[in-house]
Amino acid sequence: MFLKSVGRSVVTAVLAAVALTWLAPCVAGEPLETQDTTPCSIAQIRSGECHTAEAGVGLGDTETTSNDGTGGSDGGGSEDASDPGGGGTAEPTPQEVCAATPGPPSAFCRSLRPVGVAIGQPAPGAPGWSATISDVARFVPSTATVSGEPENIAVVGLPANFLSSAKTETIPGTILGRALTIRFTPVNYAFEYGDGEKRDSSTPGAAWDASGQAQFTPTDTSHVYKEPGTYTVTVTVTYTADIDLGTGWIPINGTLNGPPASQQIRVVKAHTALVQNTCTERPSAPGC
Amino acid sequence: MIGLAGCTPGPAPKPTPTPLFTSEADAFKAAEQVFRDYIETVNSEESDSTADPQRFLAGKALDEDVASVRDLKSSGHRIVGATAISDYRSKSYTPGSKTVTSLACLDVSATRIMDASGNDITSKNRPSIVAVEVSLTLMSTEFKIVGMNASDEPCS
Repeated sequence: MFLKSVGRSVVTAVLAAVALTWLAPCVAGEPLETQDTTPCSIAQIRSGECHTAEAGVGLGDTETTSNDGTGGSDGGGSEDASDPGGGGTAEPTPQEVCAATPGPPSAFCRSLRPVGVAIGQPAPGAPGWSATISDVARFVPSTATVSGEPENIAVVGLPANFLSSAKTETIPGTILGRALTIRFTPVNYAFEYGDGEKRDSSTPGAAWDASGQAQFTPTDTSHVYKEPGTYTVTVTVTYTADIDLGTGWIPINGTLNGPPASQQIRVVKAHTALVQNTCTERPSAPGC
Repeated sequence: MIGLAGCTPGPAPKPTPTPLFTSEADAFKAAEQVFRDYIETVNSEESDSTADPQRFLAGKALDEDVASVRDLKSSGHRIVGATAISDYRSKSYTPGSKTVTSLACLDVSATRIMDASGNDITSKNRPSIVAVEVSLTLMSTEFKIVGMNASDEPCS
């Protein structure tokens, strides 16, 4: 019994030491809160401290500085005015809203522009000259990579998070003798996880740390592997293209796929993992 | 040694066997059962010190709960009296992330907050019904609560 228990502790310690290197952010402290919802624990709900931001008095995330488990006056949370409506002025058109929104376009915004096969439509506003999606194909971004976290290792049964580095790129080029700038905007990220499962995402994925989420939280791009082994994860990014001949951006009909980017992922079974807090505090944490 | 022993995998809590879901309705049903079991376990904590509501939680929801339990412990406050589910509505199921979103209305009117000396310090402004948006994600074979957020939706 004693020997067995020593053996197990050694294994545990070794695993913990290995785990330490890639789970370090987990112990580094509370992640930053970036979402605009108000998370509530059951204790907060029962104490009457679970309010939406509009209700004003919620303790929200500020309660970590307070020793008073039920205190209620120091909160407030962020007053982020995320209501985009408002005001009596004329509503902007969907196209204007989409154009003003940074980052990859949403599914709705994508629906506003023609997406389909590459057909020989002339680019509007360029009399006597036209470019098609196949003309710009040779400029499509090819440097995008994909990575998995933590550290391209995944644990069976727990979500592994994946992210693509592809982003909007502006590339100078010459088409049919004419100098121009081509802008490629990612509209879809097709993740193939190497175990037969796939997922399309409109976002490149975000690191857990960057999105303020705890490790092993499911994300829009995460995947749970059922068996250990080595898998190749592949992401194919679909872009739309716009060109600028010096007079403003002109959309090109059709979409283009960039070359697939891949990354090997080692999926392991973990019997012990180092997680935030103690096993007494979080008995259901992995390894406890 | 003792600390490590506490972290070695013990007998796993018996999960309710949940088959993989063939329909949204099945997923809704399984997720709802997990939430109801969670609230029942929270209520049983008062009389049963081995009750472990955190086994129903993961991710953000678990982080919130750990912080909250810690605060409660350091303040010496206790929460007594049962919390009831007055309404539960499944709203959406995202097959990609295997996540169910639902609205739960929790009746906390029978729940009191007691300070270390046993005085009832329940806030007078506390609403009796609290609306919470609950997200549950399928992890291996069971749903875990991954998020609980304050909701504006009206409770009947």
